[in-house]
Amino acid sequence: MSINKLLDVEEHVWSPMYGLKGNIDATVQVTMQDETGERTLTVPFEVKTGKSSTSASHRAQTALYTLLLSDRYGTFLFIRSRLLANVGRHLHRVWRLVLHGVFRNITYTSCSARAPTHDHAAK
Amino acid sequence: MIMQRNELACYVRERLTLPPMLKTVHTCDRCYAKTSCFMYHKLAEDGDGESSGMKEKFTELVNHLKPSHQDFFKKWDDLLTKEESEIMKFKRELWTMLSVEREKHGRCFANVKLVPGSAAEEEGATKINRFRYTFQRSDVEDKSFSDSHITVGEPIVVSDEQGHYALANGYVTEILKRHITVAVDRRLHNARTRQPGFDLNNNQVFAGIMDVEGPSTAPKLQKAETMLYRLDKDEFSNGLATVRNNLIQIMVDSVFHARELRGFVVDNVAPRFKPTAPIYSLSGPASQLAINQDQRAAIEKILTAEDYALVLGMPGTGKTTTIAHIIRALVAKGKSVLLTSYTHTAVDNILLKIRDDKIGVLRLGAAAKVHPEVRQFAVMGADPKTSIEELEKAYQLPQVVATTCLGINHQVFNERIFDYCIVDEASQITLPVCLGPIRLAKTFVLVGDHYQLPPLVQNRQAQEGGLDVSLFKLLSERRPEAVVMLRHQYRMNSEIMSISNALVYDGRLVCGSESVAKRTLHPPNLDALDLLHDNASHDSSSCWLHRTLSPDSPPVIFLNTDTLNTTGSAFNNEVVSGSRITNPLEATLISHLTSALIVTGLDPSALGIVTPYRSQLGLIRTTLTTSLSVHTADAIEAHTADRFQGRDKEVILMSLVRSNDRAIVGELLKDWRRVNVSVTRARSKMVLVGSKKTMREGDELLGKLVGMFEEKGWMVDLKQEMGVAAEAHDWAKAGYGMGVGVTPAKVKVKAEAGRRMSPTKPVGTGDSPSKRMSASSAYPALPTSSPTPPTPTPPPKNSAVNPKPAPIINLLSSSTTSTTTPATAKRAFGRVLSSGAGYNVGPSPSVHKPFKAPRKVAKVNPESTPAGAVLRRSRVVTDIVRDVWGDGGEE
Repeated sequence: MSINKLLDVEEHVWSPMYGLKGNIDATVQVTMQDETGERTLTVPFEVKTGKSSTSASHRAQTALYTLLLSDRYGTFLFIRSRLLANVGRHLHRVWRLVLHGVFRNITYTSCSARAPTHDHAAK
Repeated sequence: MIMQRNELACYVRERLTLPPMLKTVHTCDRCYAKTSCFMYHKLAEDGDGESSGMKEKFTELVNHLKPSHQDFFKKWDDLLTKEESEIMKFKRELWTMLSVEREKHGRCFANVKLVPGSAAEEEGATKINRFRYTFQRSDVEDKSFSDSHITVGEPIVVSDEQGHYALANGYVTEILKRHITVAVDRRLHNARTRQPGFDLNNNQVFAGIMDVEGPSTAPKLQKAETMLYRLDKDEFSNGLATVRNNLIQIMVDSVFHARELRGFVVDNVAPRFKPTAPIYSLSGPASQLAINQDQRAAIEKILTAEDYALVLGMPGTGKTTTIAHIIRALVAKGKSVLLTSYTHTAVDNILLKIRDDKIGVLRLGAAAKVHPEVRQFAVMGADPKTSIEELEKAYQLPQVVATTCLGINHQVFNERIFDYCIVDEASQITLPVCLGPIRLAKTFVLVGDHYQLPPLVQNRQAQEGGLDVSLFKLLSERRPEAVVMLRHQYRMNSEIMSISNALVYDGRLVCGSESVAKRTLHPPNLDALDLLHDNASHDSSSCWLHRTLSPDSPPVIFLNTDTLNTTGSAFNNEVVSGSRITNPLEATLISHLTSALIVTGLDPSALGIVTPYRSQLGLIRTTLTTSLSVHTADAIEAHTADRFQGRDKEVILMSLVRSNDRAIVGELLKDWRRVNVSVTRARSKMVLVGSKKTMREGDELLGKLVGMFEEKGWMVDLKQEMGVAAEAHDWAKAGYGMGVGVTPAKVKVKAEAGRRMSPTKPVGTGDSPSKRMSASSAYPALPTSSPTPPTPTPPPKNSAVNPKPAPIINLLSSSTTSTTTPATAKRAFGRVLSSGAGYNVGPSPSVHKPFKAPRKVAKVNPESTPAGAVLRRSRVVTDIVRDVWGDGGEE
């Protein structure tokens, strides 16, 4: 699987069809190859902290975001376990690059963790 | 997951019960919402250890709560739920209403498109809402953007007309008749454009913003500019989660100060005061050092308060200055202060006073919302911090932290507790909102006046249940010993003040000085009115404008429109259409008064127009732009009382609107607090326009006022022979609608302007000036009107659009006003009109500064600090709530 195009960053999607809204870290175009051939798909891309790639809530979130994107882009709902995979195990390198930027958001992160607002409800 | 979502949605929608307790010890014990959940189970559902499934883990968290706490919590939680139902109504509209339908309700602009080339990105990459776009109508229909519930500062959602919602969120920065400009968080680009070779199954390719090869080369705005968008009021930005959390927090025993607050607020525990005030000295700029006995008493009261104190500041009594002194005195004693208020403006007005005091201030809030002159205190938008030490220095060190009441979710408040919390505008803040800041300090001070407008509540049941009873009102009625009054006012002359004294303060309000008491309006060019009388048949001294505005006239005038009725039958001047109530006659009279004031030399920014009905406000604004230059009309502030609270103007014109033979004055005028605010805004002249009969018979208190006006000789019965009709004055001579100087083109504009004043002219075609005529032709003629309009002249293009700012011309040197040849008169009036020179308002013109022109910057926009972002939805509500619904509104 390869990511070959960035469609949007932090796209908010309000979906009347599913009654859900979400902020998707990045909307990307991926090309997948398997025994059945090659497909190019539009999928959500979420950046997560932590080591585990099997967190149920992360996977649930990504699955719901796929729904949101299908509503916005008019694409077919296309959930396959492989798509919900952890695509980057080397993200710590990227993290180092953006760390400076993230540092400024420390208060943001801790604040949202404390206040039981929309974010939690959405998750 | 979707089914679970739907189940949950039912609970959210119905609000009848909460979802059942999970009763899974492991999950519940680790849940982030454990405290709130248990509190609700205990207080709202009468739960216990058994029903919660958590046994002693539940009881140890809640067993300190008494029945009084439960009653209190249930009451206020229920009131919030009722209020929330009002917000919920609008929420579903985005999904259930077509944009054109919703537009009819004033909460949407349908089918708009981008003005080509208007897209701009603000520098400074950290700013949320840095993308600016201007929209215009896609159809030729002449619908204005200015006539809706969407106003500057309003949070909005940008969607397209194909069902893609929230492409961007942000707020309105400017509204013109034909254009609306927004600042949003996201770029509107050509997303969702299918690329060649698109296949739903195997090749879902869309236009992107970045390819693996590098930035996308596709032209970005091409499609965005041709696309049709809809702009909706962002109903989702309103939530009461933060406010509800305040109620929860004071119930939790482990939370700082919660036990004490429950005592004061719920159980009426008496506040404690030290017997004597510690020694303190005044500091600050010399201009602020002269304080009166009330202000001194207020400072001393607060210094002795151990729990809380209340400062009742009547209109114009210098609340801001007093608060500034309180802060100085507390800071000098080494105390930390949390300063909050309902609006950003109020917070900044106080900060402006202490700006140069070398007090460490941290101002939390989005840079765009913070006054430019105190932005130095808003560190969030400033340089990035590179170490924990720097962060601590920025957040822990400042002795004063200032923000709005809903700004208290910032991380800094998890780390800091203050010695004092001062809440300004406290009588306008609902109790659950007010609990937020005060629980962060050991002692709290509420400043307000519950004789002015109460907290804004949308839902009738919530209002009847008492959601509009502020904590300020509750405590000041329960504990008068905690109240200190500011009674010396420095705004109104004694006559204007006497209205308010008769209405509410029962003589307690007094003038701060002799010069205030004797303040009079001196129009520098009163003679200019004479020149409006073309045919000397009118004696100008009997002219109603002259009688209203001359310095010999009483400072308070009630212009009674009943007597304009020539037929003797009941006179219904009001026009009721659906929820809109207007009075075209009053709008026209207000417009003529305004013109007369400007002609005689009043700076437009010194004039305020107030009326209870938003629909009338719209009509007055339109009427003004048909008779004045855009530049002048824009400088005149016309608002409902709600927006004028806390501010003043040299001259206030008030349109009472209601005029009917059924003696109905309406809910808005029946609220004496609203009337009190309206009549306490003027410094030297207060003119009311209305139906004496309707007021006298419609409401006891208004009747009392009418009686007072008659007794004092302030009542003027308008009659035709007083030159009320439009043609009695040759307004063309006053040079309406012009910008600067006199050029042949401008002379034409004047003729045009004269024509606009006549109500029955046929509608022209072309660009905006003639459109404005069409607006004026919509107004009914004055009773005896038989206009003889000057020859219509084609309006010069752009004459009404964007006039240059007027040059300042020294009135004293413009002696040409004494000559009466038409040409020079025109010129002179043109100058007077556009010069913006002020009246001399005696007796001591130097004591007060002229009013600032209305600030165009959006006072309210979603938070853009990273820390605030997550909370922005709930926070913005209270800031904008007045604009959204309150603001007078319709009945």
